[in-house]
Amino acid sequence: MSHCPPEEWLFDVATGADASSVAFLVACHLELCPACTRTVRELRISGGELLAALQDGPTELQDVERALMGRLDGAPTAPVDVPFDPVFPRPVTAWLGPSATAPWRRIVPGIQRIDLDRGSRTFLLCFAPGVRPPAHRHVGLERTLVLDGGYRDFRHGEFRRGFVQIVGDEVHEQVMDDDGCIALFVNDGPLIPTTWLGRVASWFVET
Amino acid sequence: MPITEPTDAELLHAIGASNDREAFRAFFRRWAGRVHAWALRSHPDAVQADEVVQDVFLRVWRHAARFDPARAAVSTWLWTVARNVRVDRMRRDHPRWLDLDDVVAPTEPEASPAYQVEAAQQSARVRDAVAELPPDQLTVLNLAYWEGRTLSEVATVTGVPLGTVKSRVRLALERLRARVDGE
Repeated sequence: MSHCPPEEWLFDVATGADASSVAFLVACHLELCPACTRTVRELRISGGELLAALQDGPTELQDVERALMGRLDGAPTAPVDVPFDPVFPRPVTAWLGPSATAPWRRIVPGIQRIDLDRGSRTFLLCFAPGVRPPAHRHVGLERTLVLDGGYRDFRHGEFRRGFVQIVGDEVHEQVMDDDGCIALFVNDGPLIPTTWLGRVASWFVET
Repeated sequence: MPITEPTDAELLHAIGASNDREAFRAFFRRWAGRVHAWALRSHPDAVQADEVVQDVFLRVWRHAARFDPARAAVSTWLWTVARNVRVDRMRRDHPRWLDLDDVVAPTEPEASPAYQVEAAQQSARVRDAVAELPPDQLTVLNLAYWEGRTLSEVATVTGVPLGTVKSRVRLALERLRARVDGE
């Protein structure tokens, strides 16, 4: 079983066709996965070759050139590089700042959360060591990227830093590693607890 | 003694190191026609395509200091700039996230040795290879690389399964790669 995103997600990120939360998760994964970075790099090289091989269009571009030269002085400077962080990939660091000062919010004992984009259900969860979230399933897909530590999914095995898990409409249960786990989630819809305890816990997680 | 034209990489270096406007103008004149042809494929409206060209070259002006010839060919770098402009324009309607530049660029390894071959020859080979692609492979390449559609959208537009779309893209890129590397 692969622990990387599907090939089409890498392609969509490489061409810039996808700017969604899924692309954000893929971008985070790239920083942790040399193999997928290599794939994206090759797709970009092909893009460059195709661009260089294009024939100029028939349009004269003097007006564009003139307008552009007039805008150079007012152009903002390039953004500074996002610093390396031992836990957060650069897209997360750029969003939240360093992991050491991340604004975690306790939702239930042993689980903390940071919302990145409530509308599209993109968030981070930080699990204490050995936590076993209640069994649940999802509306649509749940995409998980492990950023630190790891967990064991009872059906799909071990997941560690850099691993991606994609779960559809199936019940799944996990237990966190002894080091705990920090993971990025991109969900299509709400999770649906399959136990009474889970139903109580989900009220906190979803609100 | 013949005067040699500066290379694209030298122009980018001059722009990045000293905000050299004439180097920028020269770089624009070399590449703007191709960037405009690219922009027209995803933005058929001429005014919008002109805006995209301006956005791409403004980004070249701002980011030229980040270009490193040891890590990427000029064409790869410029394609990445254009691709980031595409992403930025999508995010303009849905503002969120950061610049994906910061993610991939620092981890990109060196450009392949294929870039040592003379650029014009290479472009001619790619053009030939594209012209020889079977129509079904050419269609998916156009939709994905030029029109900026996701592979799932390409599957919907062409009415073929996603798996077939992926294999057509893969085959098309392998043909281009073989032509660039093997001849």
